[in-house]
Amino acid sequence: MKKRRLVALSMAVIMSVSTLMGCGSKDSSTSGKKQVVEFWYHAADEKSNKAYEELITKLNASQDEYEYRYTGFASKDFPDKFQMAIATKTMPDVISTGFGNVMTYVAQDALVDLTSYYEKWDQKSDILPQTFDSLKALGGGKIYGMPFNYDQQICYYNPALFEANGITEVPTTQAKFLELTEQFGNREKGTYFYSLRGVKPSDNLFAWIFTYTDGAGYKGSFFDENNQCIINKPEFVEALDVYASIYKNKWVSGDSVNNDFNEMNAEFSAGTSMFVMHNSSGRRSISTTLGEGNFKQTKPLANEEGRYYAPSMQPQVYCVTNNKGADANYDGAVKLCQYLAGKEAVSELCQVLGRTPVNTACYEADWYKQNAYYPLYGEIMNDPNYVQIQNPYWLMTYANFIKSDMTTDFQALLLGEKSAQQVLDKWAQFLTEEQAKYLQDK
Amino acid sequence: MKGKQGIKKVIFLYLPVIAFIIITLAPFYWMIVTSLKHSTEVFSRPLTYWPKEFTFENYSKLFSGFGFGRYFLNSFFVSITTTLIVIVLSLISGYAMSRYKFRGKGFVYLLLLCTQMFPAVVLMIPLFETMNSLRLINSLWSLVITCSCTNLPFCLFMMMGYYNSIPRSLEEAAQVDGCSLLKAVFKVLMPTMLPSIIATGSYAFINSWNVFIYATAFITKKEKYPIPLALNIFQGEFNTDYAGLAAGCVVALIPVLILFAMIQKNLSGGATSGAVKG
Repeated sequence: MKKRRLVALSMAVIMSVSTLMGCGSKDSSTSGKKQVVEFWYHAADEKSNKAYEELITKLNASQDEYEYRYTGFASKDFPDKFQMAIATKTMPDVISTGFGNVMTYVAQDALVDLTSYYEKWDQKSDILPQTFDSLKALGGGKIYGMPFNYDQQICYYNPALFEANGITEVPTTQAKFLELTEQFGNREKGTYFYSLRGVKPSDNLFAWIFTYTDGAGYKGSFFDENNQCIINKPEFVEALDVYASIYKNKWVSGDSVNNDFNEMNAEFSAGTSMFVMHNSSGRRSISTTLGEGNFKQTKPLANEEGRYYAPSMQPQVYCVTNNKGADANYDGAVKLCQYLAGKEAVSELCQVLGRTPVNTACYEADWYKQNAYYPLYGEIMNDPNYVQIQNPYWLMTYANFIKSDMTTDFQALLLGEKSAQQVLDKWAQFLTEEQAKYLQDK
Repeated sequence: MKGKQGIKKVIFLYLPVIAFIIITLAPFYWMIVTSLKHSTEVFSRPLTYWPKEFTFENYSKLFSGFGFGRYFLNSFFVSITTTLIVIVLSLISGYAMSRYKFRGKGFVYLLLLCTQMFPAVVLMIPLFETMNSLRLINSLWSLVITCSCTNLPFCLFMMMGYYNSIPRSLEEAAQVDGCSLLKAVFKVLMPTMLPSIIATGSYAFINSWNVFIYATAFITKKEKYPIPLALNIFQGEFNTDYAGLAAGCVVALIPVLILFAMIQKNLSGGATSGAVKG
């Protein structure tokens, strides 16, 4: 009797929960007369989900032609999820993605060329021209995404720790930085001046070696006039050796070799270090963990000539996926991209997410003018000493290369398993070969 | 003499046990303490081993803004349903594999063993295609079906081991006394196997409670997220809400802890009862 009751109870629980869950899936491409347009955001968290849901609700209320649907994915889940969608031909209509991933998706024929739509866009003139140039260079003349924000490479420091350690001047040059790194790196006490990034180090690493060598006279390009990669020239090898010596000399924590952004930020926020190099989008995280007002920003480190090199404008973009074939009508998807890259949406998102807009119409708004951090980014953008490093993201394999190979090689260098020359020779050879393939295909 | 033995006991029993307990509990302690701190205190230096200022904000945020209750229910549904399906099927099939000789039994055995050798990533695309054609994408049933299928072979092996450890004469005696085969299995064998059933069920429950890889493939709608997928939202592109994540992990852990507390007695016996054939 007891068992029967137990079974009956279990079944009842499952049935009720199942009813509550609404376990069935009822999806269709049209909702009533409206055409459904699915949008996947690539780096969702609680705040961005709320902001996007509100924007999409507004857009749906403003027109009757399309029903826009939003889904946010955690940044760690998105690449796998979208790869699966490409493989199984179940792509949404619109995705957002980082600049570095665009050509990986283009290589899989997953994105639509938006050049003609971009040319007709009424807010085109508001977009930062550098962004437009970067996107065009990326796509070999074609534009595959509508830009909405960009990351400016900067340095963060902890003014309270600077004061406590008697550092009166914020380092502006690599030489001064090295001096401080040596002076305050103390493994016995577990305190350091700097937090080095060992995982996905490309932005910091290239900023360092290009600045150190003054780009070897190639103005931030990875290639010479014969399309040979220049980064294994002796001056670059010396630059990389100097950068790796920070770790080898124990001026940074032993864990640095495994530092990704989160670990680097953890060291900085815990007061283990007092100086980090990262981009402007990391500000929200630092602000959450260290507290607003407890950190300051400064320009990237310069060389003896006063010039500093940092990655070129690499905006995050909204892309239309090639889920209906080349000749299909993508108006609904493009409208969503233009709406989300437009002044109103970008204003709302950048305020909430602490990002830097590329739509210059936002620069006149009070929220932008009153922000304490944006003036520095504007200053850098217009600084004649700022030289943009032209990361070759147009090479389909570059994004994967910097995520995997570069991390492994840089870690091997830090641990003394490879020399700077070996590492840079390997990278240069790879990039030269990939560039040759790219030019051949073009 | 007594004093010497006492010292020996301290060195070889109490100290290792205490060290083991500390090592085991330290991460849980840290997780709970982190969940009760403000975000800024998580990284404050010197590190605080006890919150300077207690806050339950991370927990209230979970259920108000984050909608954790929904994710909790989703995980609960997937785990309970999977567990029931796996127990019933492994009970029946385990009996067949243990008691009957049939042509191809060795092949079936090998086939079941092979299913355990594929990593989930390899199965993702074919399973996605299957679920898509069954219109089960964004349905919790896709997870129930997948978790049941992936857990079943191992649970079947476990159950088969338990059946093997019970003498056949037990159900034969019941049949001599007038029981049908099914009655003999359910009335006579099952009560003796209760600890084993609980051990098998726990295995299936915990595996499906922690389902992540398949969930990333089949579930895109936020309202259908199971807990592991929802917890990932705390890790943004350039920021991780460690305090919120810790609170989420604490809540996610509660059902598993309750389950273990309830079945602990049965589990220790059940997990090993089929290990050695008597």
